[in-house]
Amino acid sequence: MGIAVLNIYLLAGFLSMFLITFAEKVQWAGVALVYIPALWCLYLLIFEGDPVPFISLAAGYIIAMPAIIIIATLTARSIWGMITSYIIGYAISLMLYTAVLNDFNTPEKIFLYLVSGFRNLFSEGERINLLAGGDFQQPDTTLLTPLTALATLGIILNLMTNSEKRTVKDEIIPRITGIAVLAITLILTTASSWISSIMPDRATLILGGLSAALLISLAIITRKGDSHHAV
Amino acid sequence: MLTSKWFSGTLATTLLLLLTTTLIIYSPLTFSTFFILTYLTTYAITAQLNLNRLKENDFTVERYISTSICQVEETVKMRVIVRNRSGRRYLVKAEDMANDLELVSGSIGGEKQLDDGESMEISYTIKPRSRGAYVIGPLRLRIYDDYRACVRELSLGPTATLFATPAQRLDVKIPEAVAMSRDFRVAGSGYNPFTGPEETFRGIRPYITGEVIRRVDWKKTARDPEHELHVREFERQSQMDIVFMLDCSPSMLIGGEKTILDEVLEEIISVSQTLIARGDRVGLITLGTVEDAEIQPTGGGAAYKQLIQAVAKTKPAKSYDIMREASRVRPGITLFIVGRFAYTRPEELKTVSKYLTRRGVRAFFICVRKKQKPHPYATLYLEKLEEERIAWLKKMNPTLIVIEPSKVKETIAFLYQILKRGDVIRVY
Repeated sequence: MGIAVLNIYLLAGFLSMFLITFAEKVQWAGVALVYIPALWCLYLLIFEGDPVPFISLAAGYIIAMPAIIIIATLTARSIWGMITSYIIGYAISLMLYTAVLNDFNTPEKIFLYLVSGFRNLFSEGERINLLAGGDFQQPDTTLLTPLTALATLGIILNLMTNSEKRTVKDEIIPRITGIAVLAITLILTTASSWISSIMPDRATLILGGLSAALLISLAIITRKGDSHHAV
Repeated sequence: MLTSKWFSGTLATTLLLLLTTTLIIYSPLTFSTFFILTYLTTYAITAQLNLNRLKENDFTVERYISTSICQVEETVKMRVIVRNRSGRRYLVKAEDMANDLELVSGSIGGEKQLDDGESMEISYTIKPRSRGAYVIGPLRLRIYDDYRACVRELSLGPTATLFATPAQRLDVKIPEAVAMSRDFRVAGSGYNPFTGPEETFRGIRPYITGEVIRRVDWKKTARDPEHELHVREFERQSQMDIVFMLDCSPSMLIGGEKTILDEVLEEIISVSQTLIARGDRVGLITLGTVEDAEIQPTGGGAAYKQLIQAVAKTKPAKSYDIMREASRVRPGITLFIVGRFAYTRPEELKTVSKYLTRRGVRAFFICVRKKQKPHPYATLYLEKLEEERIAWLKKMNPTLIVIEPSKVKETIAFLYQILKRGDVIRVY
């Protein structure tokens, strides 16, 4: 199970994505290897009527994206950047994995799979899911759940040690407060996961309700903090 | 409150949770996002609750300033020490408020993780660019939790006030000032060259150990049967009550880079210092400012400080009615009215002069006139107008003294000398 057709345009697209990311360091070589293949594929599409090189190049970009986003996650300077990169990278990897799982393993088929996913947005079906819809096989959670848990813990630890200023003392292991908060979070997540397994139709409601309660509590407490800030 | 970093993180995670429960549905991913969001909000709640427990006296601030009175462009050192007395560690970011003052060296802010009992010092050097009263502080303190999720802002005193006065010349002694004013033609006679102008003979008495030999009366000593030393005793003339009534209206703000007002204030501070040092009492009335100062004649170091502060706070704002202001002056003082008299008609000036004389006030009117540097355009015409105005004032009020602002101190010093001698003054 893998990408069945490994053509030069796919490779060029894959490499181009990395070169775009490291454009500052690669400079002219990057420009040459990014723009020249893109322009050539565009020429073939418009003047020769051959869409395969263009689709292969684009597929190469998409396949490279998870790796690029991992680099972005590790080098992110802000919390929102780190979390967004992680989630988006995860989602794209999952989409590619699901595509390959369902034998969409050529550049053209990958596009078909993506299009079907977006088509679900506008369909009148019961559930909308960009990852898979209809009869598509979902990735097995047995393998990915522990890996996801580890990745999540890694994100949390990275948040705690992501220091903006050198003068701030970094701590690898959060203090008592941090550990206690971690424990509370674990309990809440496990509880909502268990309830969702019993009532799968209410999963979204449960998660939404808990999140809303936490956010409202945070808003109230931070407002109280603002009201007596002047001494 | 939440820091922008934590707020943007929480917002992004909330939106991503929405995404993973509606569009990209995969339970490990959804619960992973939920876990991250729960952690962010729960940590922020505990951090904020912790910060809300901070009390007023959990952080103390000490402020030290090298001087509270300085001259324009003179550097002043400031030290601020913040101490953590809260009982636990916090990340603290402090920023002092020194608006309108130029930072010469150092930094007005600092950041440090303070354990309980630990302190942070901020020191910097500032200088005022212009005359005024500057309030430095309070110290703005931002207290963060360990991971900068939440912040609590406090404004802690004390504040310091810096009074900046115009740059003063080196103090000119009154006899020297008199020498400089030689050209000023005023009737009068010389003073006693041995004892100075301010002392009068009182009598002869026995010598006390430590007294200066030049005061010994040798004739009396020789006639004494036991040849005991005798000295001549002099006493100071009674101290004078001098009041400066200064025109500080917007009409005094001409004169280029250094305005007439700044020059006059500089001269007045300088002469006040000398007069107070000689034992006289000096008062001040400012006219045409936001808040007119009225300081009754007082002596000593405190008087000088009061004058400096009043001068520093002077802010021209409006015109004034000299007749109404003159009625505030009490009898028996010596009054020097210094200004351009731009809002005063010649007849009014004359009336005021007579009024003050009737009230027993010895008043001198000093009109300051600063010649502008030659300019090819309109200045020449304005100069001519100013000359004619002053000529008209002088014609109606022959006792009006017209001088450059830089001569104010010397002129006042000269008049003071003559007053001390008790001579009659005629102004030509």
